[in-house]
Amino acid sequence: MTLYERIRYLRKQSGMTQNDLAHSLGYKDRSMIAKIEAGKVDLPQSKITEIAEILNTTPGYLMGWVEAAFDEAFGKKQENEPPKTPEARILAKGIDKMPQAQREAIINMMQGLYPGLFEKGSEEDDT
Amino acid sequence: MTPDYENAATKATEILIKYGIASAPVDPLPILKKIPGVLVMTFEDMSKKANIERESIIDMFGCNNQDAVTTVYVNEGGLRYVVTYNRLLSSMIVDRALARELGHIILGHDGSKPEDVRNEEARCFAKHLLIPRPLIHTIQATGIRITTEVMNNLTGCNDHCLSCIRKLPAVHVPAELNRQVRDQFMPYIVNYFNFQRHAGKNDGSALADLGTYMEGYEE
Repeated sequence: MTLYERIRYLRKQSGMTQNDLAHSLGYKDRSMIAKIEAGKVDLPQSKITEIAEILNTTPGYLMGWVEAAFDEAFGKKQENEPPKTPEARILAKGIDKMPQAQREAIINMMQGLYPGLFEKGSEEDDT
Repeated sequence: MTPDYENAATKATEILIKYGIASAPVDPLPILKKIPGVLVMTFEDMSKKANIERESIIDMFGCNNQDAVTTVYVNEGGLRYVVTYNRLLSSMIVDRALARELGHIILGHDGSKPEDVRNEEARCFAKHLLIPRPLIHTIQATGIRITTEVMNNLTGCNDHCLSCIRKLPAVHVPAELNRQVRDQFMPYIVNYFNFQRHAGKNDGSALADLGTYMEGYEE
């Protein structure tokens, strides 16, 4: 989501119309809000702070910082789960240190040794 | 709308029990970090991530008081909280600010209550988290007069913190919860008396009094 989409999202969440938000911000009608939500206006910091206060959030959320920080701290960990067994961790550690050519060689070797293991889901594991 | 102090105090006591807090000063930071969906970071870290000067970040997050602020938002995973705080303040101020933010999160504050009511409830939460009432009551029961010095030593809260906290009402918390907290803190209390005796501040009678108090209680 962009800054403008977040403003729109929160405005709808709190049950406000574009007119309501416009009046809270001291605009005469909703045209300015429509422009803001369409991303046609550059908002100064002071305005962002004001909008955040009305929408009951912080400017950091509107700017997308807090969401990005949270995703960085927790989101990615969930995507790449660490290997579960000690053996898998050792293998993963070794693989990480290898250059690409060696990695391919190891994978080919393992596929040759234990073809049954790599029949399903091998593409998923590679990515 | 009046603040629900009783609920705030009860929730704070429940947190002390849930996270097995058995000594003071109570540090809210590790508790915050253990709560699912909560990210805690300093204004410095946030300014690095957002690539904006620290001062601007503080301006944009903590317009009124520059200590700490919680941002709440919803995404696919549910409710998310990002607590940003000012690391450069004294540790007691940071602890109190973080305890208040923890209060906002635990009490599930949203826009349905006015801001001053929310803040008042969070302050009451912080008071009962940082200064567990059963701790004070047990000391009192042994006949020791609760002075500011005793409070400083027991809770790790400085005079300023105590004077801020004193203005808030101390409210009723279910006795069963209070008892659990007191039991958790018992080794800490005994250690406090031993330390006092070692420092020559009492002759051990307080410790004996504590024993009598406990025996009486057990029956």
